[in-house]
Amino acid sequence: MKSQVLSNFAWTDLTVVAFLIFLGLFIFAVYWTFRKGSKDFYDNVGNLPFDEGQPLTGDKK
Amino acid sequence: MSTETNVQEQGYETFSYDDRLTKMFVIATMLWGVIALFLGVWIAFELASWKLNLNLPWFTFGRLRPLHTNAAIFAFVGNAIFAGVYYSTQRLLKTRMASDILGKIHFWGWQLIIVGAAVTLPLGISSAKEYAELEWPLDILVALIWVTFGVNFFLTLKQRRERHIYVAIWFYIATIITVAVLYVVNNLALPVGFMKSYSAFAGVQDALVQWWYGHNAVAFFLTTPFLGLMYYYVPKAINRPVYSYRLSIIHFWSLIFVYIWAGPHHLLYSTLPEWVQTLGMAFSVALWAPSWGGMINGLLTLRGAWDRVRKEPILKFLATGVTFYGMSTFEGPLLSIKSVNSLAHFTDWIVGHVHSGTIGWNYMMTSGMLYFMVPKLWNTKLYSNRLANIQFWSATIGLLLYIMSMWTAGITQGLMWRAIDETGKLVYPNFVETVVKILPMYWVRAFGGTLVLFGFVVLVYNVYKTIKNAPKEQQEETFKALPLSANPIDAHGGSHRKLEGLPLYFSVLAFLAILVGSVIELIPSLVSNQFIVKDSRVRPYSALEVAGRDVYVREGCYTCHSQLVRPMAAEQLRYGRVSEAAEYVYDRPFQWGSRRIGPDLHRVGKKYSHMWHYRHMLNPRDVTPGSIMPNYPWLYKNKVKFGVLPKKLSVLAALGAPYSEEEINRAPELAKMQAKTIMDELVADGVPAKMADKEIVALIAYLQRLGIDMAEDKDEVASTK
Repeated sequence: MKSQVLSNFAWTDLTVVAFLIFLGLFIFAVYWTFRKGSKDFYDNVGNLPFDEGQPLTGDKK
Repeated sequence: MSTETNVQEQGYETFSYDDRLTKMFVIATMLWGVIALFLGVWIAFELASWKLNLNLPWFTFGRLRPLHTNAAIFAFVGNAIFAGVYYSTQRLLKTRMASDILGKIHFWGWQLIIVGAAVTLPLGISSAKEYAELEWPLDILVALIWVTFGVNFFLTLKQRRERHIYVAIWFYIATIITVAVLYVVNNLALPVGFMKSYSAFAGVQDALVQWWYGHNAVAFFLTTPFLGLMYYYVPKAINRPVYSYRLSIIHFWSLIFVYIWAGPHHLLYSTLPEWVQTLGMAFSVALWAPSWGGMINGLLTLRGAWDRVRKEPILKFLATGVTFYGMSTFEGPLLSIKSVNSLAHFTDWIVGHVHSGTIGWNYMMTSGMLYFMVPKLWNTKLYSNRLANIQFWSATIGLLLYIMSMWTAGITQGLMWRAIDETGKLVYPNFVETVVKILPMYWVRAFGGTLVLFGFVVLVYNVYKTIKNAPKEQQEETFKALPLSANPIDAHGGSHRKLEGLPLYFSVLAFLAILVGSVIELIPSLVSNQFIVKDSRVRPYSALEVAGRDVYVREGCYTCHSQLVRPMAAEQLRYGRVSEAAEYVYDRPFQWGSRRIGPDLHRVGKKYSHMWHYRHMLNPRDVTPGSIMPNYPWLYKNKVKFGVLPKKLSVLAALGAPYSEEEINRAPELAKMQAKTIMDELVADGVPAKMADKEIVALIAYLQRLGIDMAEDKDEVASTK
């Protein structure tokens, strides 16, 4: 059955296509995040969980 | 009031968080957590001692196992996700959820679904697709409630006061989008009645869609939301930012892109096209990298503060959770390597792996998150650190017992199944030998599970005392922050910065990332159906066999029996000819199963006499000493509903089964005729003739039909017509 399916559509190249798509995306993501001048920006956004807005009332923090 | 006026004059906006909603989900997490874990412990003991099935339909393993998995995933973990997401999202976006009403609809709708599952699954109302067993009315409700959650979430994103969308929110977005796609596609079905439907997909296609869903339910329900929670709660608990925000970005995009491709590793050595299996395996192995990238990022956030991990229960739970995430995402790719999978698949090794993820990662992270949130939400201190420590050690020891017993049981049984002596015969030809051998491990697992449950009960008590001791007057806190318009997109910022500020485009890109894998993986396989050569010997099930198959589905037989003979010498020796894709074209849903607690059944047709099956279902130990299968006495009392058969056949015909008008219209009559031929043999063996209309006869008809259509012996095929 498997050979019949494969002989009917030669889509085995999809594995290579899939790999290339992923490799491209990965390289782009690495380039993107490590681009020049972005360090300060990412350092700042990494601190977002600690900024919940300034409390006005109540006794919680 | 005057303070607020001053604030507004300075350009600030005031707001409060909807913590009431978070509190409701916290309570629900604890309630359903106890129930889900109790169910797990109960069915673990049922496997160790079959008598605990109680001879009652609602308590059998086959019906309670789906309830346990659904309760653990959607009730326990689901409510924990919602609690964690609502708490963190509002704070990360500096805004209240867009709609209190949508939040309430989400909460009560979700609880209604869980109650619906708790009622229907023990009653045997099941579509028999793992982790997607709920029938179509509940499926529609799940979709509606999920969309409600999504709408409220995206409206909240729109009204946020923080330009940048923190990485945790990205994981939530990916979760919301992907779960919606997965759930809707996998549950496509044509209803027969109010609580019965047949899958829109059949056989190999159904298997592929199911495991594309099943695997990604793990990915996008048990993993991505928790990674989002990790990126919020670990930094909050240790009070320092995540180790590398850049790594979190790479982690996110790599993970959501790769995860979606890995589903076929559940179907290795099946009749699925070879290239799909290879693709699934390759991407599963590739998953090591992003998974470990995330784990390392989480653990390194704790760098330099390990002394606090030793002392503070919250950190203890979170650090253990992240560690188990690393361990289970190491084990997962290992199990997807075909040669390893050939040993591990269908064994308890997989069960151990699953629980190292759900208990080690989800349970531990949930516990840490609850200990973090509860004192803050109720404006008090945790009642007892000591009790939290007791829970930690109880759960950890229980989990280790669980995993190690399942490793031992799985590898032992897998090796016994494949052992062939020098004469080419199976060393353990009797399947039950391999079951009896691992029974001690079932007791160890049940004990380990009990420790995990005990730990969670301690958590519930600890949280109950914490809330009880909290101030009675709970005032909703008000915050101030500048509106988004005061914080414009940085004109000089890179495209990523802009992307992160534009949730709509970001969501579309995330959607595309999961779509690429889904399309490449799914469409060729869906199309491949036309290339599966329809073998004229393979016929649709007769009316009585359809009735019997529905009994098989109702009783959850797939939770213990597979219907897939893999292309391996030992399997062929034990079960018979290797399964072929063409044999499944009328199987809606497919019933390949994922665990062989009992033997494979794909070649069971005509292997035993009708009387053997009759005695076996009444008391399996009569014909198989040592069997741990429950008794099914109700099959000898319940009558087959012959009247509904024309409707069932017409729905199956609408889905492609070639039934003639006559076969559909005369279905009850034809079914009774077939029942009579079975009864003739049974009566000769001493069974009373009045049993002809009972469910056991329909089930025998179905079992005797399994895997015989393409038998070499034509006379045997003819005899079943």
